[in-house]
Amino acid sequence: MRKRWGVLFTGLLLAAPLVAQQPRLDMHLSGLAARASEVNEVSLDGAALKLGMAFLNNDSDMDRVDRELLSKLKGIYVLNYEFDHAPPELNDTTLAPIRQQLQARGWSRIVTSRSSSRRGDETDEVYVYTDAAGQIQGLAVISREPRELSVVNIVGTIKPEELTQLSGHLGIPKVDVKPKGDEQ
Amino acid sequence: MKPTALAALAAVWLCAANTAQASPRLDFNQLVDRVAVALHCRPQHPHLVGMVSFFARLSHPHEARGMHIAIFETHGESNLDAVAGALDAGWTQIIRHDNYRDHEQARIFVRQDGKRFQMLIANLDDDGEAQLVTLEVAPGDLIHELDRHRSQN
Repeated sequence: MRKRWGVLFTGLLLAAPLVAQQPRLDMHLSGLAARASEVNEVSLDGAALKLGMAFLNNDSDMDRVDRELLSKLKGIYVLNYEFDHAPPELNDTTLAPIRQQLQARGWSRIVTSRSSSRRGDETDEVYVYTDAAGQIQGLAVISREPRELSVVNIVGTIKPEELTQLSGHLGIPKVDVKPKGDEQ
Repeated sequence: MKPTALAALAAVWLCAANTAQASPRLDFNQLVDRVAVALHCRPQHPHLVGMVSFFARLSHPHEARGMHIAIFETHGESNLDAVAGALDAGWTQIIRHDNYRDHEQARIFVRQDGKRFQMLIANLDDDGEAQLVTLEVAPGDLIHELDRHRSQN
């Protein structure tokens, strides 16, 4: 009996890292919310996505969103912080909890876009999560401006170019998806 | 009463009880009481707001139904995060908005009830007034209605 429990326990231990390698990110960034002047969070998953679809279709500012695209998604999670003053801690250390997850097997960065303006440097990074069959099952965007940080996690079958259909809506920042070779 | 009729009646009663469990009804008055406790305040103008709620329920804007409204006058530093603690299981927060600059907060929660959604919107203004609105929407009907409205324009 003890041996059976031991095997079960070992199996659970071995399975834990596999469970952790999911396209769903833990986007909790402790401490940053207290410094922000505005915090926006969107968490649409399961059946609530249908509700999001209704809101998207009510958005006269956009072309009709491909409902087929939304039907393939399992979740849309957005975290957005705005700051009155550029916080000194808005750097890679702050983003370490998210970057560590993106370094796990399955995630790969496909776009890095940097631009400079009067307001300062802006960086957009796009990551995709692919399963063992090479199918994209998740997408992540880190968009950083001197006074704004957005992290987006889309779970489900989505092509990077389809991100443009959603960007600018449901709290997802406008992201210019270019191939990795077009980095500035 | 014959045993078969009694058994049928019992079966109908059991089915009704199960159906009621599958689609939980929203007890708005109970919800208002819980939110009032969570925000340490009392609902304002209950009769006036009740009348507004009544007329709101009669109309079905964009296929939204069962609309209820409550207004609270909060004191001091209130946080709408407390609203989540006042809700039953099954509610999911889909939107959180905190504007510390203008002292405004908003939360939107949803709970699925078959093909319809119960939606709860909580808003807190800079003057300390909080509004609580609940309504039921069917995403399919809502999309259909919006499509119809769009094609007319």
